[in-house]
Order: sequence, then C-alpha cells, then structure tokens
Amino acid sequence: MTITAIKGGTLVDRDGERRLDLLVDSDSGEIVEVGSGLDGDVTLDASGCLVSSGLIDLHAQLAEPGIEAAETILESSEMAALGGFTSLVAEPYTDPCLDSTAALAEARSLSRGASARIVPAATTSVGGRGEALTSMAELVAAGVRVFSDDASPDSGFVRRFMEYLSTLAPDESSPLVLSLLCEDQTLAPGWVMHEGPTSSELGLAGQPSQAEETIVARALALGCLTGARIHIRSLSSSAGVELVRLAKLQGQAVSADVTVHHLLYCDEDCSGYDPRFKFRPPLRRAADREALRSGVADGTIDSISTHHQPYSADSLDMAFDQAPFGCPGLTTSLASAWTDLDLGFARLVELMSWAPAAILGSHGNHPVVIEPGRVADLLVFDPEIKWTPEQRHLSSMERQSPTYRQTLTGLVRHTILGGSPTVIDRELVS
Amino acid sequence: MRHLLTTQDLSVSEIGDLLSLTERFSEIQARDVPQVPALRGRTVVMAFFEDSTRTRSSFDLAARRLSANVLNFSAGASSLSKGESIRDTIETLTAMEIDAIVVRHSSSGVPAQITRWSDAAVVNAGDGTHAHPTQALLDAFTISQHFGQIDGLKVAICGDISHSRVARSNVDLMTRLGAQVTLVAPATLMPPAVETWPVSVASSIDDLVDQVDVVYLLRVQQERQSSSPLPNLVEYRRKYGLTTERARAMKPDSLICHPGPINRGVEIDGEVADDPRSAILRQVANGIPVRMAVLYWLLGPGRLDETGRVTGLVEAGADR
Repeated sequence: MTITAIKGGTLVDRDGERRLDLLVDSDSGEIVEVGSGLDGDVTLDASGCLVSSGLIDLHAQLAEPGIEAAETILESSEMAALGGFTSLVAEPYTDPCLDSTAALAEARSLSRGASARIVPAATTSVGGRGEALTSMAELVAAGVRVFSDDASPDSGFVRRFMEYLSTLAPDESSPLVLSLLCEDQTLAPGWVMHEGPTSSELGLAGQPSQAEETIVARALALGCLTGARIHIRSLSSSAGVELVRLAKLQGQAVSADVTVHHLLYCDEDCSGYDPRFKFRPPLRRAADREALRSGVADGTIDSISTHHQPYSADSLDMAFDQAPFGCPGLTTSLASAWTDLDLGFARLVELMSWAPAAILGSHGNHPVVIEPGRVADLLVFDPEIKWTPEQRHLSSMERQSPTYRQTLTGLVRHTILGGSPTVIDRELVS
Repeated sequence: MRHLLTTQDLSVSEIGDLLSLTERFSEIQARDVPQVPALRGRTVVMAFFEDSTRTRSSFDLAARRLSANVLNFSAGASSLSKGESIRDTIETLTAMEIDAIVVRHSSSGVPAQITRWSDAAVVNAGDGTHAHPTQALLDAFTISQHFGQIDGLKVAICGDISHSRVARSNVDLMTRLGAQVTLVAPATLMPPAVETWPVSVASSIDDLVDQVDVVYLLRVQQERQSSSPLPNLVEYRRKYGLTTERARAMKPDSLICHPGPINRGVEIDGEVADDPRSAILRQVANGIPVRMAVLYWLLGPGRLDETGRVTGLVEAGADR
C-alpha cells in the first residue's frame, strides 16, 4: 500500500477552488484525506498547479484489434494519461468490431495494464452493418454500458435499438449510454470536407450541413417516440446545435459533445490541402464554429471529447482526398482547449471530466468533489508552461495533429489513476 | 522558387508577359527548326499520375523544343497506387537533381502538396477538379489572337462546371482580364456556392447564344451510376448542347472553344466542331508555345528584351 501525497496545488472541483494537499491510497484506489500539511510515502509536487478529477473522453478510436496503425491500446492509454485522461470510452469500430461478448473479452485482455480506464463500447448492430441488433442484454450483463451507432441508415433499425435498450438499464446509477454519430451518408457520398465556397474553390467533394441536420432531427424524433436517452457525439453544424437546444428546452433526455478541433478550426483551414484538417464530421463554416462555441457556453453541448484517431504519420503524405479522417487528440486536447478556448479551468474540467462522468453514470465515484472516499482519478495541471508537441515528440503519429507545431500553454504535470500515478513530472511512469 | 499551381499565382501583368512570350514562341514554332537552346541542361520531369496523351505530349514537346532533358514518369509504370505516399515518389525524383516537375493528378491539391516536398519548380498540368492553369492560358491566347484582347468580351462556359478544373481556371483568368463570364449548366452540374464566384449563371444557353463572343464548351459524360446528375445525354444536348441551330444563331465573328476531347452529338454537334468559327484545333496547336512560355518563364531568364525578343538564347540569330 502506497500513500501518495499531492502537495501545494490548488484543488478545483464543484465546490470551488482551494489550496490544499491530498492523500491517495494505491490499494483502495481512493482519496483518503484532504487537508493542509499532509505527507505520504511518495510526494508529488503540485505547486503552481491546478488539481482536479482526471479527464474522461467519451469517444476515442483505438487501433486494436485489427486496424493497421502505429499504436496499441496500451500506447493509446499512455497518450491518454499524458493528456490528463484517466478514462476513455473506446469506440467499437475495430476489426472485428466489438459486437459480442467474445470481442469484449478480447478487448479487455488487450487493455490489461493500460494507463487509463478503457471503457468498452459495443456497436448497436452486428458487424456495425445497421441491420441486426447486437446481443445487448448479454453485453450489458458482461458490463458494457455504452452502445455506439455510426450513422445507421435504416430508421426502423434505429427505432428498434432505442426501444430495446430502453428496457435494459440495470439501474438508475448505472445508466446505458446510446451514443450516436448523426450523418446521412447518402447525401454526398465521397465527401472529403464541408460543402461550401471553400470546397468549391479547392475542387474537393463536399458534404453540406444538412447531412447532419436531418439525422440529428431523426435521432431526436425517434428518441421522443421511444423515450430513449440519447447522446449525440461530435456535433459540427449550427443547425445540429439548434435542434439539440430546442429538444433540451422541451425536456428531452439528450446530451451532446463536440471535439476541440470543431471549436477551433473551420473549412477554410483546408485551403492548403493539409490532411490534418480532414475530419469526420467535417470542419464547417466559421459561423458553425461560432454556433458550436455558443452551444458549449449555454450548455446545449455538454462536453468536449477528443475523437482520437490513431493513424500512421504516412497519411500526411497522401493527397487530401485519399488521406484518412481525423487525428490523434489524446495528448493535446486539454492543452489546446486551455490555450485557445478562453474558458476557465473549472469550466474546462466540467466539460472534459464532470459532464462525461455524469453521462456515463460514474458521477457518484468520480472526484467531481475532491473528498475522501472518491476514486483517486486525478489530474495535476501546470497552466503556464509552454511547449510544442513537435518538441516533445511523443510519437510519430502526433505529426497528424493540427497542433503539432503550435506553441501550447499548459501541460499535464501528473496524472493519478486509482491512487497510483501514471504520469509523474510530465513523464510516463514505467 | 516560383510555381504555376493555379492561375491565381499570376498577376495580370505576369499573364500579359506570358502571352507575349507565347507569341514569340509561336513564331519560333513556325521555323524549319522549331528549337531553341534556352533550357539546355535543365531537367523537366513529366509526373503524370493521371493519364493524358494530349497534355503530356504538349508539355513534352514544349520542353524538348526548349532543349531541356525530359524524364517521363507515369503512375502505371511505377506501380504507384491510390493511397501510396506521393511524397516518397517525389523525393526519389528530386534526388536526381531535377529543375521542374510537371504534375497531373486525379486528386485536387497534389501539386500544392508537392511544393512542400521538393525544391523543383512545380507546374500544374491538371489536379482533380481544381485547376488547369496552362489550359486557361492557351485559351486566353487563342481568344485574344482572334479578338485582339479579352477585356470586354462576353464568354459563356457550358457543361459540367462542378467537376471542371478547366472552368475554374478559365473563370479566374478571363474575369481578371476583363471578360464577362456566364456559366451555363443545369443546377446539378453547377459548383456549390457558385453565387460567390465572379460570374453570372444561366440555366439555358438559348438566351445568350446570339450575344456572346465566345462559347466555351466542356465535355459532358454520362455516369453509369444511378446517382448521375443528368437524366440522359439526349436531354442535355436538347437543352444545353451547341447544336447546329444554336451555332447558326451565334455571331459571325464569334468563337467556339473546347478543351477536348469532344463528345460529338452531346455538348457539341459534329458539324459545329468543324464550323469555321471553331477554334478547337487552334487551341491544341497553341498548347505548345504556351507551355514553352511557362517553362521558360519558370526556369529560364524568362524575359523579353526591349525589342520584344526572347532573351538569354545562346546562339546568335537563334531568335530572329
């Protein structure tokens, strides 16, 4: 049993800010004491730093099993820890996808020893084909709480999984999350960016916002019909934000997230044909970006996620229309958001930690209030230090990120997972 | 290092310089030995990732008539497939000490990306649906040969605008040179946000055909998928094609242009392609001196002297 003391930092939680030390226990995995002048077996210096609950990513794509990439699950979890994450929801679109208890067992075994909690998500349909329901009851019994749907085209199927899932939640404290990516893939097949003046000028196939708008509307309408609680991930358009805002006003059980990239960039950033700005959903107009920021400000959008995609650095050396979508985001999303979004730390932690915890139902345990008895999943963040991802050279994949050469302000100093540090003084604990 | 990636890389006065250079190289073409030593010792690579006999031959001849060494690289021969690293290919070529890369690729933006991986001059010979600057230059040269200038001319561009790099380059070049451009196509073939382009838009060629100075036709193809933007080509011809009847209505001194290859009986009737007002073959012929001018401008001294002669040619009497 090791007691680690986190000393000299400013605790930031739902109750406010205060300069206090805390002690965490690696055996129980919990916070054991919060106070002044505390000492433990190991001391982590947090002077000048902000201490909060660890970040939770609501959707990150991992590369195992089966997707050719330069990153194993364990490596992704290390990137996550370096980025301040203590949990991440792993998207099921691996090869084979996670649609059975056998695949779940495989994913769990590959995740053993990871530097962050890997929360498995299962697909709503067998093989992700949008036709037959996965054995959801069996998966729930095996511990799955998140079901992910990627643009299933058939409305009847969407209704069925909403209805079926709504009767399966084990109890109130352990809700089921139905995470939907809302896209009409028939509207603009072959798209590579947002359809608009920029795509027109660049000669790149575009997808109009209506591809998201129509399916968000469908998801909300079917959510109403079935009473399902839904989560809409990675919003990209002002129309999408509007629809969610209205649904929330009407009392519908819906939550939504957005990636940091969609809050920072827009379609014009594709002008140099740089594949680092190729995303799914695409970066849309500046006005959509403003609407997404307003959505975050007024609570329409509950959280910020990374939508991490692990690709080899080669994708930068391909034509824009051939390059894969997305970029790695686990190591830089927090710093990027802190540098460019002009949000206070507490607000950022709410978006990247407390709100995801509430959506996943781990609210009770997650240290949204830093007090004894809570799980010791913590982040110690140095808000002033300047760095560039290129300098740190964490992995060759990082080249794919738009922030690769950007000078970011703010870096994770320590990350604690279940009472044991995964990152000490900005380095991984081996 | 300068490149020619899009017509927007050229200022209006640079366009003027290139057209003057083209005039001089045109005259050189007419000689017994249409060759000048201006680019002797330079190496120009033809990196055609997308097939094209016409454009490649035109660039190849242009480079050879300037006495440059030409290296032909074609995607098929190198087993380069989609998604492979273009960068690796380009870096291999660059290691051979080359001066210019003429690139054609089916993906928009590749020539721009190539400028990041090589220090050679990059000439865009057509990238995806984005740009084809030398086509626009030879079109401008052909049109101004006929009318004396482009300023004030009325030009209609008809066909699949949304997928046309030729249309995009011509719209930029012609509007900056002072022409009034109207795009004619069904809405399904218009590019998105066309209202932000410096053009007018018409949904029928009949309203304009007797008023324009140039009818510029683009090739229209029937796609095999059910998602085709056109019901069929017969309907296209009926509403938008330059039929014999419509050609009859055109002004006697107007011009008919097409970047080729033509689809007789679709966007242009067979007879009309052979009409005396058709500049189609002149466009092809002008491709070579235009491309000589571009290569000379990028790699050679690239100037005309006070008497309007091409400078920097080694042999005495070579440019008389």
